[in-house]
Amino acid sequence: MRSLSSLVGGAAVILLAAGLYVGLVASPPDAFQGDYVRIMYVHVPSAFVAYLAVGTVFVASILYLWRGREVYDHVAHSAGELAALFTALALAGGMIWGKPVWGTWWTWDARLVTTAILFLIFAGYLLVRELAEDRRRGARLAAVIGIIGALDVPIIHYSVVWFRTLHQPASIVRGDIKMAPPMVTALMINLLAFALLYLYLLLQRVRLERLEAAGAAAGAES
Amino acid sequence: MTPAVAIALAYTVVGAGILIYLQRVRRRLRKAEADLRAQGEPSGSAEALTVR
Repeated sequence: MRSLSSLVGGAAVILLAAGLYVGLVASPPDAFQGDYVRIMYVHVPSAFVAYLAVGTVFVASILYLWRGREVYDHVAHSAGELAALFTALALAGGMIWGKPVWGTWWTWDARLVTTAILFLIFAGYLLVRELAEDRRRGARLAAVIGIIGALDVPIIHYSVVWFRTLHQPASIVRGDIKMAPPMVTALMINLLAFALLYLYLLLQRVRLERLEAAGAAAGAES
Repeated sequence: MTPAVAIALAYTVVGAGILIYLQRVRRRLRKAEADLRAQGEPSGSAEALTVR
């Protein structure tokens, strides 16, 4: 697992460097947004990774409740932390983009509100784990919160279709791309870089979870 | 806010968030490994550990 982690980490660093270059230097400014479009190359991948992390929590939580194996709880807990982190980063990146382009840091738009709710759900998810006196009971309760919380992702995704929002709809829908090719390239490189970064962080975090569980078990025995 | 300031702010916030998190995980990893060694567990990789 350690060599896989190093390989994924190395690939993520190379792709992140490439993503920085294409995002900041090689890609052109947008006709309407100008250079502010470059914020999209970290904002969209952050939101994408938040979705990936929530998806991981959803699957791992179902497996944990079904099979009861600790490894699924370790994966869910690790991914839950990353879900909260990357949702916060997506919100922060979006706000920094929103101030100059929309003229405001925040607006009560459906996409923004549902994303903020996702952050609060996963902050609560981590809090439940932290405050639970019985670790296994806390893990089961967190799994239920993780499964229910994951239902917010399709609501976030389709909020721009279901509601009249300030946030623009998706630029890439089933092969229909509403972006210039150099921008699509920059976005794709950064999406891949962030996906690898997510995998690296998840592997590291799961390893930590396993070590801490082994340490706690060894401490309880002695 | 000029484009340069907004871009620098966004990339710094996202980059710092990721780096601080990674640093925190690595510090806890080192501590967990040291604790396990102190408890007399084999000081190998995580693969040597048994998942309950």
